[in-house]
Amino acid sequence: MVSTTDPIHLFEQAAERWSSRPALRLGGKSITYQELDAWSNAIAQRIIARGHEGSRIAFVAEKQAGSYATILGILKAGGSYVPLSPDGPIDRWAAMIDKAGLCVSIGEQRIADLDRIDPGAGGDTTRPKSRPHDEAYVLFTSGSTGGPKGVSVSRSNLAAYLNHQLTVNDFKETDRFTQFFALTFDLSVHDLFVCWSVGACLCVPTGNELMRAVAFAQEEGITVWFSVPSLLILQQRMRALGPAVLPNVRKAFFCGEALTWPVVHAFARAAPGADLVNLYGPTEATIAIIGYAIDRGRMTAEGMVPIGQPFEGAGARVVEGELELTGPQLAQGYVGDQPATDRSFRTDRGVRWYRTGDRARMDDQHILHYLGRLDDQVKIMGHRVEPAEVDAALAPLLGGAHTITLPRVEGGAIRLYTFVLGEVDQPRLMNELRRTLPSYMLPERIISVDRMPVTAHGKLDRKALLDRLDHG
Amino acid sequence: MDRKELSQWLRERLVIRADRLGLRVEEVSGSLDLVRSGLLDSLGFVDLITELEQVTGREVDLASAFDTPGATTFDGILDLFERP
Repeated sequence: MVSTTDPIHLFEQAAERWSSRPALRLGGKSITYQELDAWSNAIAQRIIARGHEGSRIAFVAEKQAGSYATILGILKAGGSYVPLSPDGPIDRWAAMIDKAGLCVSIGEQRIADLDRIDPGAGGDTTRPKSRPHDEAYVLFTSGSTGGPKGVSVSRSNLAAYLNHQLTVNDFKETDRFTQFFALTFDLSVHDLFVCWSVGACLCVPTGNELMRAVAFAQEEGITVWFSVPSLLILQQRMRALGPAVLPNVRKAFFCGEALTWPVVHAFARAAPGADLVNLYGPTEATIAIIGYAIDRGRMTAEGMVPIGQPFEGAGARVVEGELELTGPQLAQGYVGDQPATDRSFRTDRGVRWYRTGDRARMDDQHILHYLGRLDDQVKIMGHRVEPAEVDAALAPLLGGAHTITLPRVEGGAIRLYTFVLGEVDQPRLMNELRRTLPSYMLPERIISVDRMPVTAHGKLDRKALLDRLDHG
Repeated sequence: MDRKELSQWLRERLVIRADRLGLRVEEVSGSLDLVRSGLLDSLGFVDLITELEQVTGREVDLASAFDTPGATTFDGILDLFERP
């Protein structure tokens, strides 16, 4: 059992104990704990020297060594980090920075500067003492009322998650962890801080290496795998998930999307020695809060894998079909958006609960099963997407014309289609949307309709709209 | 299929998706990265390669192909299927 209230202490303890072991492996090069510790100290000192200790700091989160040192440096300087997607778009960055009320941002040029800091220059580790409820990071997710929502997660939230993972798993300093997730994705926080808490090596794919994830894992001798199910499906389609191709993997975690049994079977064959765990959790509950350890002897052929039971110290209940969560991992709320915080987090008889918007059921063994969404939210390659955010982005471009964006499953992937009442200039609109939405949120097509069909009950007939895609 | 025919096939296959992004079909060429540009997502890219395998009757080792810089560009795909 490892107990801490500040995750950065776990990294520092590992850095002291395993100083010469590799902490980071990226682009064929390794960085030791000592180097990463010194590098991040230098960044922390620079932040403090400029008067930004304890600040919320944004940076462009490229998959490069400087980004990892920056995250540690910001935390060491008592601040919280706000990673911005390297793919932009810039207008979305602006919305995030505006919402988070950031006073500092580290642009690409500054990251380059930080990269040039001599790792040996770190020496002095004097810095502010952080408090458990100090914020650790702010991560943005899609928002249904237009614009992204920033979830504020504290150091104690993250510490609660880490304490659970380090208690129930026997991670070792000899382990080699994948770092498949973008740094803007909260599952990346698991990669970094679970790995660095035990002195293991974090292996980061760059460029196209993520698409050839199995080959990357073989080359890097990966022992701990963590990915969205979509990545497994991608590997399957690439014919890469052959029998026993991942003999070194001893732990595999899946999260971010519904996991199906056929996908588990394929991975179980590829990694015959791995313990398999399905994790569930929204960003608002810090990475994951419910887990299901898969028993290889009791796998079924079809259907969805249960999401399991809450971590110790956490709680879950199903209220009118909706899954609600509680416990020390519950985030502080949404930055700069108290109304949204009040809608999603509520206190019931002195206990704070987060309403997930997910439909679930609890079986007679107290195992939770995910059943889908109560609203229109979908997951695209693990990213939460509110189709209404696409409509909100279109609204100012269309002068208030009626639009509706609908998801459709095609070949195992979810695609978005936007229907607009009246004539539209699709290329112009798509160009405009690219300025405000990330590529995974762009609709496949924007379709003009002369009327919005309604059902016998007077509601929008979504099926009739989607049927138009197949019938011109 | 020679390189010219492959080029033609790819453009025809991608014309709707290019239009979606406001790209002219002639811009779908050369070093345009089909994934990074948002033209295709990674699953869409692999599906495209699978389709090309069927059309050309050639099977490619995708994992190895991705070792090559620029594998997801328009020219990268042509190289992949032109390679002996």
